[in-house]
Amino acid sequence: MAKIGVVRAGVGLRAKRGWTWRVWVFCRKKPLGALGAVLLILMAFTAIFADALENYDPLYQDTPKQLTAPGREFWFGSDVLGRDVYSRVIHGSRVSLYVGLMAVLISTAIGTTVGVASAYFGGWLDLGIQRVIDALQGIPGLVLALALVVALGASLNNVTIAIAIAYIPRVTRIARAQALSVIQEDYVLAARAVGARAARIIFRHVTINSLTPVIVVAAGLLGNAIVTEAALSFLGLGVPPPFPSWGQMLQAGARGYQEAAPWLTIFPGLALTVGVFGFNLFGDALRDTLDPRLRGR
Amino acid sequence: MHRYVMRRLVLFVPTLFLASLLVFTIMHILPGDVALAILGTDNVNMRDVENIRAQLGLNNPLPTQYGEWAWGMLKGDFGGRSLVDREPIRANIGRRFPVTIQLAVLTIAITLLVSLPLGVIAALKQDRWPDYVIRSMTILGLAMPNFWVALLVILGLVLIFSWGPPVMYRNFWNSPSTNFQIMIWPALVLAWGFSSYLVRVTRAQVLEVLRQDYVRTAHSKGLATRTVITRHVMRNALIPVITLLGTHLDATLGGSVILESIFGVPGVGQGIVQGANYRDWPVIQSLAMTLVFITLTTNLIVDLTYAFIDPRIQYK
Repeated sequence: MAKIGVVRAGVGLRAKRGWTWRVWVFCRKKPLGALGAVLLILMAFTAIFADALENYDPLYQDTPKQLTAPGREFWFGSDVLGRDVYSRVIHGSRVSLYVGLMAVLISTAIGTTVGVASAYFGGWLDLGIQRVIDALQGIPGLVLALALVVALGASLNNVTIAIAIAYIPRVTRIARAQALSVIQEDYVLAARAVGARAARIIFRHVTINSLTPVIVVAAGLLGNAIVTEAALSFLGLGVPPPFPSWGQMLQAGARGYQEAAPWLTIFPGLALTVGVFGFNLFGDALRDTLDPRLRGR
Repeated sequence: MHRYVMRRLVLFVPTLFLASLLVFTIMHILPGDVALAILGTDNVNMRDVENIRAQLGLNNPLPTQYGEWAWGMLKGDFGGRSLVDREPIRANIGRRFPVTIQLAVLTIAITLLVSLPLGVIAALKQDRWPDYVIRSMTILGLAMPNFWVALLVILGLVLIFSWGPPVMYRNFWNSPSTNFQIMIWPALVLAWGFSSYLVRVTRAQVLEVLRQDYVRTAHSKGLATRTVITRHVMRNALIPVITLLGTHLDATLGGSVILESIFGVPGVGQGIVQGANYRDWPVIQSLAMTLVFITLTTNLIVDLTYAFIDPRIQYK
């Protein structure tokens, strides 16, 4: 009886070790990754509750109080139009997160589909797709995104699309490479033998089993996407004003008021850096956990 | 290896062709009438619109337009004139191209000089203070966007030293010192981001090679540690680093687009940004193609070098 009890206790323990246990193990093994996750949760929290966290309306112009130094009234100072930099930084997280997540989601969806299809069908299709991907990758990412924004016009969604297109080659490459090895597996052969159709094999077997390295690459791209959005906005080709975005705030700060109001340069950049830092740490930990072979790449 | 070199060379041309097709398509097929954009939206006279379209060859079928532009790129007149100041794009590129090359060379030189030794030191002193210091620097370098670092550098120079980089650009042959004072900052900022990446890879590679059997053999046959490190470890660890140098060059060129604008360096990147602000598409198109050409050529050179250095490489 005692023995059964022990076994039951063991079963009970294992059942309790659900995702909270896994999170705890992740935190203990990857403290930096956990720090990254905390930063990301903070950023998501800021974006969601921006309206509650703000001190002023981010668009409200208190012109007589323009370029006030950081203090009790304006925590991060005020800009040249007398807008509160703190509230604008808080609201800027929305743009960054939206563009970053959507761009990576779109490029991952398209890149995976194209990469897997390219690997599965092979032949001329594969050759053709690979050449286009090579060509696309020959255009520096920022230049490609910039040209697309010029052609499409600057808006929140066009910036997202432009960044997504610039990232498609990287996702396609890794998805294709992984799918090529998955196709060799016996379970794909078995699926084919029982008469599964191409679509079923592609989605149920090949794609699902090719996802791990894709997720690792996508996580690495998130921080990158946020920087690219900020860079485009900085160049005046991103999210149009007055909607607050960190890159555009940096540009406004850099134009002539740099020495007079260094806080315009410091705070939006700091927010951007913390965001990218969080994504990088989390992405690295995710990579080490999911795919130890990719370490150091 | 000959097969590899041949295939790599043969693939270069279609890739370049497809890339030019992509650049052209982006600038042409996507919505927006260029003639209307040039004239502005109010009070457009239809005859003016027609004149501009005819003048730019916009009434020709797209394949003809592409053919003319591509032939122009090959012939060396680089696709006509700027829409804004009517300057021939050929002159524009002739002026900007050397500047960007100089910036890229300077960046890569600094990166190599700094990151290879640091990567090796970090690996040899693994989990001791030099390793921690070096790794912290790389984490910072990867997290801080280069254009923000650039703004902080300018801010720091002005606030602390009351000195800013010269505003007027001078080329290297006319005034080496002015040129250096301008170019060194964007090069340093770019090199920091670039080396952060390279240091991490070098460190990981060296750590991996240190565990190899031939390193133990080298030690056990009584070679001095210094000889083992330089002859056995470094040589094997640095091969993949060279490829990464090539694949990351496009990021550096992309970064130079924004840094050139911040530091007032009149290179290809700054030209693209100026063109973008005026919707000057012939300039964007030809300058972007120039960057694509630089990127693809460097990648080709790097791949070929790789094949020569590492005889194990096969075309996959």
